[in-house]
Amino acid sequence: MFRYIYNKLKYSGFLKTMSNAGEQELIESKDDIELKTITGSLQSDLELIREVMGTSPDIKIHEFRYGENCEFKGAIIFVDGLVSNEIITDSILKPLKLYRNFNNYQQDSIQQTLDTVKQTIICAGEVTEKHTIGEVVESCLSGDTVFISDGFDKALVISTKGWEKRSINEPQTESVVRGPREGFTENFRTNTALLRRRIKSPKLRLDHLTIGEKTVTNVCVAYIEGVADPGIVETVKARLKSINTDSIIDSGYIEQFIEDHPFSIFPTIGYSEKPDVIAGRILEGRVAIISDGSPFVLTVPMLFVESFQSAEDYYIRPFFASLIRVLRYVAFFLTVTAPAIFIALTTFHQELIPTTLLFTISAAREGTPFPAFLEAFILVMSFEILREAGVRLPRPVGQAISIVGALIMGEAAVAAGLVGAPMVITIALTAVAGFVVPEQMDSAAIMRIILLLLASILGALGIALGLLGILNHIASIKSFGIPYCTSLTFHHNMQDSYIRMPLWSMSKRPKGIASKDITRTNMEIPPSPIYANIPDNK
Amino acid sequence: MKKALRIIAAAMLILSSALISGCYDIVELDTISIVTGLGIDKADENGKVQLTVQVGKADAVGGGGQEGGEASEKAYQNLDSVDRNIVGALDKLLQDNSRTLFLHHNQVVIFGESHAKEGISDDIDALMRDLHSHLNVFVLISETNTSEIFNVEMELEKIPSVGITRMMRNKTEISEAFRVKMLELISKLSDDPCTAVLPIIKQVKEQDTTRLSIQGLAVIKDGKMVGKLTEDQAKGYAWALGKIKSGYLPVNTDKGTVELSIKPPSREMKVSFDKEGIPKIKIGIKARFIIGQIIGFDGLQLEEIIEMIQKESVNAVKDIIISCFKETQRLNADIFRFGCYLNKHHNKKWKKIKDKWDQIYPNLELELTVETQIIDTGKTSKSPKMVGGRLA
Repeated sequence: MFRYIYNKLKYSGFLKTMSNAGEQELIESKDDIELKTITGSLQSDLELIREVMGTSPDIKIHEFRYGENCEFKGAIIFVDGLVSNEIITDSILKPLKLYRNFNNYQQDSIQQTLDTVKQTIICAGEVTEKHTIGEVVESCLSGDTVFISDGFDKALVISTKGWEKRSINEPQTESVVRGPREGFTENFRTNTALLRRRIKSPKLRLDHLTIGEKTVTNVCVAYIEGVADPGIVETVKARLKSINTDSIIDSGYIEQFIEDHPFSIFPTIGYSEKPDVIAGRILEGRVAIISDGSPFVLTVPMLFVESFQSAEDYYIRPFFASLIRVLRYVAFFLTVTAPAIFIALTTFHQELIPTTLLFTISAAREGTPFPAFLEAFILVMSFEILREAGVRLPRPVGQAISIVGALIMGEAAVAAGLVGAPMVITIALTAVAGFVVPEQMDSAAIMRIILLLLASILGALGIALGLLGILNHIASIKSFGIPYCTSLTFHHNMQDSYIRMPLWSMSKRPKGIASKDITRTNMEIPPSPIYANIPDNK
Repeated sequence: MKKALRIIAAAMLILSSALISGCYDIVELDTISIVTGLGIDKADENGKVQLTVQVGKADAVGGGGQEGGEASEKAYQNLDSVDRNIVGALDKLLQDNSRTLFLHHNQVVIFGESHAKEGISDDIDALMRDLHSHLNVFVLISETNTSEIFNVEMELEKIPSVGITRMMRNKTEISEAFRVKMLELISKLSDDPCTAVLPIIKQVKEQDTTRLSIQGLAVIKDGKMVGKLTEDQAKGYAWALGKIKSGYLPVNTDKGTVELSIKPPSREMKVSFDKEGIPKIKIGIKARFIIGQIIGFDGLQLEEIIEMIQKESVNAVKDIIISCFKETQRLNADIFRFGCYLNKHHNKKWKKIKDKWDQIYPNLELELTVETQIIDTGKTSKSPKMVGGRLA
């Protein structure tokens, strides 16, 4: 269906004009200045840098003299706020200005002076040499400090990143009762560190690249070598490299640029805000994509069953976890179909409702002015509006909204006879059930409306057709080469789909995702209890 | 861009068609009245049928939380119409009503006795064909005009016809033989010896109030009601079929009376033929009882009582079966469906006697063997009247 619409759009020339317009805007040749190399003349170099960077007050250029008799002229360039002032004073300026032993070395060449500065004087963690103005500016803007000096045809880039960052908090989207509470932050390095802290194996690879002409966003592909399928890793990298855009603000941008089915309502790339979840997925053989500036880390490939798995499922014992997981499927089905089923039953198939229930429902329908479908549609829509309002508004106002929503929408509308109480109950159930599967919440909202429309036209037949269409669609889509429905059908390993088997029984990584290193646990199944220091455990 | 606009226009058309009109067979709940009972009687006018339709009022029945629907207000409405047949009568009602009659939730079909005596096959044909009536409804015969039955208010039920179905369900607890649904009736009426039974509903007038009671069975033969069985005979019918499930059997002896709680019996049936091909039916019933109450039996031990009543209960069971069998022989209606049994199991012999069955049945020989067993004495093996293990 979606492909059909896509084709229609394509033929209509709608897409073409859109994408053409985009391309023209995007492609912009690099400034010639940025390609120039450092000349060695401090004044002209600084001139060039000023020209590229403009005169923003946060760009600091500090010129000074150093050397035994202050014979060298130098300058550091940094962006205020992105750098750690302590590092600059303690590790760059102080040593440079106080160093007097240049004569101990043979000052044969400029290169050797540069080496002295680089190797002996500056006490920062990372010092690299850069040659072009463009590189210098880029390093500057990502928080490093650039040191240039008269006579040097190179610039030293000193790692001084140290901006204000949010501390590690408990994520608001995925809270757990039991399990780790830390969440990713907007800071790239913090995020990779959080991941490293969970997987200490040297095989954890963090492959780095930058995307975005203007934002120059650091993006990192994280996977475990030998566990992740190299094909998928390469695919991810290739797709990331193919992104040609000016900006990556959030990992959501990346998701939309690299997903398999941009016209599907189902997400084919998973995300999480929690390092433990991402670590778990990486250990299953998935590939994570960390993007600078976003606490949401992407994982691929994503399966449909993943939406129903919660981190907590693995931290609690399997029995309750399985029960909850089954309930999640039920809730998902309810949230997608409940309004449609209600409409189909009350407008087409009244004979299927038990007599007493029919009397109750029709008593509520008595005197309501709108057709049942319109009633349901209005309620579904107003719920979406309320939800949106609740999310966007500042918290104190949000409460007011929920009170207005609950009282006016529910109570008053029923009391005034505008909508029937059973309908309100159905929509409320739908709304509550929708929050159980957050990853599919947006797709569920769309499916709900489609099914509602179909049910109002064709009744149960419409629902059946709609569900068939949806099923057909999710069976046809893939995420990075892995069918979306893997683990949903009976010929795949289902140890972790409808119910969560005990951890010791999930001895293998999921088929299809992991490549070589398949074995996870290597112990007796089920593990027999071991007693130490108890001579006779009878 | 023109094409894109065209597509958007088409999408909006589809949307608006869904929003504005709905589908051709869409039925909004506030456009129907839910029929809960159908009554079919003989009209005063000759050859015409009176149809009584009971319609539940949603406002009064449901909507417990809503205001209105005062306690005094009736939760139902009875609509009458007289026409050439029930299809015509229904049609007439449809035209005279602000709402569509919704037959899917019909609970009972009641035939008036006078109408049933003239034949119900034609009405059943209509009900069978109608797309909107389902076949899972109870069918009953009423002694009086059905509109009277539908007007008897029940204390606990808001709609009489719904109450009648609940009464029928209780009746089923005693024996499934008393429960006749439309589908069963149709299949029985299309069998070879075309006989069926239908429960009888009647009004019982007490001082101020009238209440309904389902007592006895009406015997239908060839689509017509030919006679009635009393409640005891009806139980005999259930016994003979082995379909009795509960209830009490009083057993009288010289020393006293015992009420025996009936447990589902086992029953087997055999047929033997004499030289002329006249069948002889053998029915064996193994009954099981639990003692419900002991009255009398002074000075006897429990074991003696049990022995005594085990013997007597055989006669008690036989008596009610025979009484029922005799009545059906008198009415010449093979409600036990021996004919069907013969047709199924002794097809060749049945074909020879098929035409003479009406002559054979009134003189049919029935050999009845009953075994009884007291399986339990209830919660106690003692009695408040007992002294030293004997009843005082």
